[in-house]
Amino acid sequence: MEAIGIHLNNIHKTFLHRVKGEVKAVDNVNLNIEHAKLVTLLGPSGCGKTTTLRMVAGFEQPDKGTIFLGEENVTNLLANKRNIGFVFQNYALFPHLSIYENVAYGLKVQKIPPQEEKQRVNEILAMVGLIGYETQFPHQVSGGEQQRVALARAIVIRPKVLLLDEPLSNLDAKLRVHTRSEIRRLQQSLNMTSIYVTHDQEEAMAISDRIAIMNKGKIIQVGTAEELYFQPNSEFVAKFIGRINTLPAEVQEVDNGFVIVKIFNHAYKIPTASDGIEPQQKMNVFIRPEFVQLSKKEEEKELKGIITEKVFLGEKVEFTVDIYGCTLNITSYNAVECAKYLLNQEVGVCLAEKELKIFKEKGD
Amino acid sequence: MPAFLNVFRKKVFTKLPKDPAILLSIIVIWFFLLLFILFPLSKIIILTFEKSGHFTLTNILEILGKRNHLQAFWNSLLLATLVGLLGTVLGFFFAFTSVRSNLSKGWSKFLDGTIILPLISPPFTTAIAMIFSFGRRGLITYNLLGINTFNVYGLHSVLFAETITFFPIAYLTLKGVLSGIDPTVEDMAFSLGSSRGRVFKTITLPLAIPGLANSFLLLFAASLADFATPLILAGNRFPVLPTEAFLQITGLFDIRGGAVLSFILLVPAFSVFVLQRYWVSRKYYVTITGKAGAQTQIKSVTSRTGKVFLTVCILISILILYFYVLLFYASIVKAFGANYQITLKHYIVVFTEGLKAIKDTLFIATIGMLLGGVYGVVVGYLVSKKTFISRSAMEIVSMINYSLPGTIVGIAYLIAFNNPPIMITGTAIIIIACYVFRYGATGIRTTVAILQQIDPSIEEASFSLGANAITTFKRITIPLILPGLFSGLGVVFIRSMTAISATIFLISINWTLITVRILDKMTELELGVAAAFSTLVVAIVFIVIIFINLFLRLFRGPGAIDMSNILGG
Repeated sequence: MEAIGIHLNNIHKTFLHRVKGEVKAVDNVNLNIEHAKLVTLLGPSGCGKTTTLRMVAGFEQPDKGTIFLGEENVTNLLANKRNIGFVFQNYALFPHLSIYENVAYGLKVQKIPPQEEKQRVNEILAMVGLIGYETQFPHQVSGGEQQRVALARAIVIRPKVLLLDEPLSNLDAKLRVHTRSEIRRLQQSLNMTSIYVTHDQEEAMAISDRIAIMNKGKIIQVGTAEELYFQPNSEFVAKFIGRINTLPAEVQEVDNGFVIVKIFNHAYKIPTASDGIEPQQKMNVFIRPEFVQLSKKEEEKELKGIITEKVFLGEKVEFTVDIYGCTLNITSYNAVECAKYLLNQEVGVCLAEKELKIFKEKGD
Repeated sequence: MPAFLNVFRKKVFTKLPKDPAILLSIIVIWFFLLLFILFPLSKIIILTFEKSGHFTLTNILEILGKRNHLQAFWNSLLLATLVGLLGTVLGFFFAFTSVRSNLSKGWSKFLDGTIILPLISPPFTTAIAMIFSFGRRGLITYNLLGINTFNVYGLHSVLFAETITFFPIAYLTLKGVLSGIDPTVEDMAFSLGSSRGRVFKTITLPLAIPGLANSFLLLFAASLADFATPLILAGNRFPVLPTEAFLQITGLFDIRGGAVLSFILLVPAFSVFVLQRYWVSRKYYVTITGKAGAQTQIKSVTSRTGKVFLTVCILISILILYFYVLLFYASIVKAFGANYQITLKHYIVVFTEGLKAIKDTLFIATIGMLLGGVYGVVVGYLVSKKTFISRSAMEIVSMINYSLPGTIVGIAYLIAFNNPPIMITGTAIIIIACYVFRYGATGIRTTVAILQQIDPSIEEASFSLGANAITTFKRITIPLILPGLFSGLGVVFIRSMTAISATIFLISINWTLITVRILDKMTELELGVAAAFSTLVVAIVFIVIIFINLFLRLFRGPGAIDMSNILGG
């Protein structure tokens, strides 16, 4: 089947909340998903990601904006006319139907001839590894199996797009990792354009072609996992994807393409777009833990600190260092080197200049 | 445009259902609600406040000016208050014993089984048994104690009979509340050094207060609406509103007077409805989730106190059982109080002269059950699963006839459907409509309760797979609610079998009911036949309940039969 793109244009959705009044659940969301790609909506709970997904499915109606599946404007189309596959967080299996009947439900609605129905259901059940489970009922199988039934039921109708609403959140950690690669494998082999909703950043990074970070109803940044990690556009994204240290700084000099800031009496030259940044301005500077190094050598350009915590985690060691009253997390993958550094030891702290980030907006 | 207007517009337009099937059913349901609930009720109000085309209060003042009627108003309130208090105390005592004193399963079942009896019986049962026991030639007063001056008619008897009949409602309500209180909360209080009495006073009782208030209101309403018991036991000295309204219409043929009296009854009944709905129901601390707290050794009462409580409960249960044995005994002796020779003659009367009433009742109850079931499911589905403008209005209106005393509903139907455009007095249709829109409400409640347990995403899953609203309703919703629905239907049937207060105004030569025949036989002093009819109804109801239980066991569906809905009247 031909895969199609999904296009959300200026989508708004407001809910009337009993206490808070009007709440903007989704605020001017624009998103274009190319065909056969999987895009994840990632964000904290209440950021509007599930509402956005439900609007694509047709379970909610946007107040403003349009939704296109391929060339077709589906904004005012009922859910049952959109031909989408939806996988619910709680699976929403029909408890009174057997697993075969659950999967065959959509085909029966489409009045597919029995012979073809049987063949297609068996094909899908084989694909998700549930052959032999046909006559069982949802409550008789495990959570992971229920999850696969839900997936099979959604894709057997050969939907134009597949929508997944936190499909793994009810599984235990080990099964989650296994199932997410299953989903990715199916999505890629069937070439299904998909939207995946989760609040788990690791899951998002593992499964997606691209990730859209959402907060307070808005999309903050869209990009691949690498882009979001290494080039976050805001403090919110930087803090939401991975861990990052915050250091206080004062701007000394602004030039085209870089900014010189002073962090605890040491100057650093940060490559960044400099418009809107003034000298003497106080702002925060950010750096990921793996771009901070410890040293014993007393160098000019180094910050001084005391190790307050050291955690050995096998392939890596994590330090917490106190520099002039500011707490800094440092990750090192060189366990041998790390053996030299002990708790309460005074050390030099070296920040990788190129990896320092400053953001004009707070972003949360 | 001002913001609130914008919000309003949004509400109106986005809440209009898009699905034509849904829209159509909403319109149809509203048509029936208007016709069979609001229209008759408005007739009572018009008749009360209108005289020769003008608004007036003279009708009310005239009726209240009569000493007897004013007395009936105060009597009704007094009786309802007393029944509410006594019934709640008794119900709480039973519930506490059952939930908190480590009852064995056998005793627990025995209590549950016995206490349910008054709820599923025709409305005269306790009253008849009272007369057999305490009347002039009563088994207890005359035969046992040798008293023949005891007067069985009056407040004391009505109070006793209504308390015995209605306290099971309090029991069922409070049992739910008490078992909803996590015993670990009480354990915590013990561990902080409280004594048993103190735990009860400071923890258990305060947590149960909303339940107690609710139970009081339920009993108050039940007693206020009760027509049968006061008709038999109140006598001349203790008139109450439902019986006065009945006598005004059947005795004096004064329909306007009956309407005004029932309007006066409407005022306290409606107040209770509002209080219960908007005040008590929001005060619950414990929500019944079905998820039991950690099992702990319940130490609320010492084992000796528990035994004392149980003994008292058993004695009261035995009293109830005694009433039923007595009823059956009276139906198989020649003349209770005078000639105790065993005979089947009363049953012969029942199955010859009374056969038409039996057939009519079964026919009407069956049709009422089926239509009421469909009505209940559709309305229950709409109000709990769909958002549309007028949704909560529909929910409230659909509950009106169920919540109001039957006397009001009966008189309202009598007035509304006696003249063109809709003249259905004297037909089976009027009785069936009365049942559908009165007892169908239990079907609505059952449906709503079951649907609340079904995750909305199950229906969304069906939509996303291409099914429309009708297919989803047929293939997903109906199968899921079917077992519970079936028990809801049973309730409609049972209540149709035992109802009298509304339908007594609606029977005719063509269509009559067993309960009305019981009343006729009571007034003709053919007590044996009345007892035989009552026994028959109890037997039929029992068969229905057994059938429902078998069905539920077969399908193992959710939603066991909710006994609190089976209240006769």
